[in-house]
Amino acid sequence: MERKSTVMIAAVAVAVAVIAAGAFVVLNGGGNDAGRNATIASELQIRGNANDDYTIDGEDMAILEDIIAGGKSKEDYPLADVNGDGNVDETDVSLLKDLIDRKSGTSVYVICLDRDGNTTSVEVTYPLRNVVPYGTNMQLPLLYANGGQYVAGYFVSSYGVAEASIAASAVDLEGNQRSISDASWSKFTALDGSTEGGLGAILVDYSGISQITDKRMGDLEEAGIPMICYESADATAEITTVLTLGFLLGGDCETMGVEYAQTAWNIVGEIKDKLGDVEEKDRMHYICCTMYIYVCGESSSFNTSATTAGGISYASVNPEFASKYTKNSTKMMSTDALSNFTDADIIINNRSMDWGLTADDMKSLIIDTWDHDNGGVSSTVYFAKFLDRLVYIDNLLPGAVKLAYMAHAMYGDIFSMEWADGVLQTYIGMGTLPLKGQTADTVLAYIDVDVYNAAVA
Amino acid sequence: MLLSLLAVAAFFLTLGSGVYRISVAHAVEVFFDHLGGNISDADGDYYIWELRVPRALGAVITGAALSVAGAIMQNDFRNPLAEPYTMGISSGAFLGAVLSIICGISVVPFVTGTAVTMVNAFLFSLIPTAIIVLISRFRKMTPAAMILTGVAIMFLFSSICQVIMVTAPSESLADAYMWRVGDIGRVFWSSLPLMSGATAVIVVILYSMAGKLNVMYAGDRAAMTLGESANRIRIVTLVLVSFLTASVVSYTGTIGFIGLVGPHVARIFVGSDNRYLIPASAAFGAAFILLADTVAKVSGVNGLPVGVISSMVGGPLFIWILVRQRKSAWA
Repeated sequence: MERKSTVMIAAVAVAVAVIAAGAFVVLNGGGNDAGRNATIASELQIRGNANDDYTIDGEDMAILEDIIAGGKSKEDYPLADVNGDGNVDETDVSLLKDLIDRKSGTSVYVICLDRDGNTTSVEVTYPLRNVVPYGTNMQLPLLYANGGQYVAGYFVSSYGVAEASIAASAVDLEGNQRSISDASWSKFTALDGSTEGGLGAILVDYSGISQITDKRMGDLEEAGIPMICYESADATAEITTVLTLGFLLGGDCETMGVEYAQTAWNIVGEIKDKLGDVEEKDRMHYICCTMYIYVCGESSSFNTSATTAGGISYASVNPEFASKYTKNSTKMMSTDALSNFTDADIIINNRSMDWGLTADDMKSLIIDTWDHDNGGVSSTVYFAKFLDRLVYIDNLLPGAVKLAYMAHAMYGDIFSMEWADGVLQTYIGMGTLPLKGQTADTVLAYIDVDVYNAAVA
Repeated sequence: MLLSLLAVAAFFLTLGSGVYRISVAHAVEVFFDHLGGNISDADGDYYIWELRVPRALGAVITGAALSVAGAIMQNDFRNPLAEPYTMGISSGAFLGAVLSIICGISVVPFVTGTAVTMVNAFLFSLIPTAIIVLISRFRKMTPAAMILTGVAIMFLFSSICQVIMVTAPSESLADAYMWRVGDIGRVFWSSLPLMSGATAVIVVILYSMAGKLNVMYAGDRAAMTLGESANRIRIVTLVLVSFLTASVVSYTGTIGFIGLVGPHVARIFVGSDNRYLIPASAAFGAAFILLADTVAKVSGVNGLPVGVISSMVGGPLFIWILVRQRKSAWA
């Protein structure tokens, strides 16, 4: 009987692991991002999450015990190796027990990216405290997990409302969105020295990894500051980032992270299910843009997000476009830059827009976005042949909300605006602090030509 | 005449050049179809008529205006290095643009949208000349003092720009840099009335002063003996040149070298008589910027600012002129 139960549990665990891994790979698409994370596919990016679900609990312990007893193979459960030493043994069991008990001071091995974009494990101490995020795409996930209270310092905070939950005591290290000056870095290392117990970790969005130079990596190693890096600009990676950071911070943050991620996976599943019957030929070919007139290359996180929302990257069907726009983002240097690609179905333009808007703010922001002045030339000139196929989506929103609006933009007859607004409302109601106090009327989530025309009317 | 023909040929050549794929022959056909009211290729008509024709006309006007401005300045100050930008006009315009692009400041409150950068640039480009004119009302200024005052203002404005740019977000910083380099792609039909009107009127006025400018070329003392006040002519032409430069630079950004090189090349063909030098400089400037923009449009991933190409070509060209010139035109 006992053996039967063990076999059944093992079978279920294997099935869950296979489905979760498959879902992760599918949802991440076939681009570079998927390749980087393919080694270990996990919802919760923590060693010890043996069954590859959203938390660490007794089910993971059961798998470890089975592996040690010889009932399961450790190769089938790569996350069962809690300390990443290549073996699954009593040390792992002991560590996992402490993790299940959420014991303070426990070493946690976080699966993330290294500077080269390869999967690695980084040791941090549970619960994670005194963190310093770098990059909006990492800062927001931290705040979505309600982790603002644990921010010891930040390099830049450009969005007063969305990032209001950063601890009042956090030190402004005076970097900027795209770079960390030597002076800022010095403030960061000084902060480590002045913080009791030192900094818990630096959290880096992979798109800003160039700022963590070899020398700075050496500084981190010397000071014993772990670097947790994710390509969190991608909507699906953002979901796992919130879940993982929530777990590391513990307590209410873990609860929030789980709710945030489970809701998101449900949205992703819903999109996938509803598009299941849409044939390949009927799928929308999208071009993603950012910063008004920068065109995203195929490997851009914006592209992988749009693919998750059911679209097909225009770069994947037009080699000329793919060969021109190879970087994550390339500025359009002429107003006819997209003139040879007008057969793309839709332009999804990603713009970070803060919240807490009044009706007048909303109107101004819509007009400023649509008619944005790019050094004397309106954005509409660059997109003249796409104005009825151009949408702007707020990049600050939770990943699942962005996916919902992308799905609406591409398949409006399947995913209504009301449905996408409902996803936003779900996250507002969830209690995640960046959206606290917001309503659908104070957040400008989506702009298309109709929204613009209504604003200027 | 030769330079004018070159400019016309360059105009049609540039219609077929750019990211949008269309042959020169078809582009010219689309151009004449539009003029004849017979539009058969809607996409082609948009890209040729709405974007490339005003851009080409903008290149003609810009090249002509800056080159003429350079010719006048070199003549006024008897200095082969004088050009509109050495008087601080470009740095003034750039400061105005930076205030708009990076700080979002409109110096004229009721101006909004894409016009803000243009209006700011226009007004700020006039400041250096205004300062020089103001000083000269109270104190006699030599040509050298005028140039040095312009250079001092240029450095002052540049340093203010640098302070603003050091703390600017990267997106607006890139826009500001693009503006600094100069790009004819910012010229549309809506830009042309002011650009062409101001350029035509001011160039005609300057041309009507060709006789007096020739006297200036002989030196201040010679002008005085002929009953002309060299300083008065210098101030008047300086103000005109400022407006001429501002009327194009405020739309295109600061396009380098043509104001310096254009008059030198024209002088090789027609000499220093302003009756010929002014039209020759205009024709060469127009052709040069048109051709540079033709190259710029097909360079890089999806085009480059013309300022990059004009400086890239203008620099070596200027050195070549200096090496080849057997006797100084300024002797």
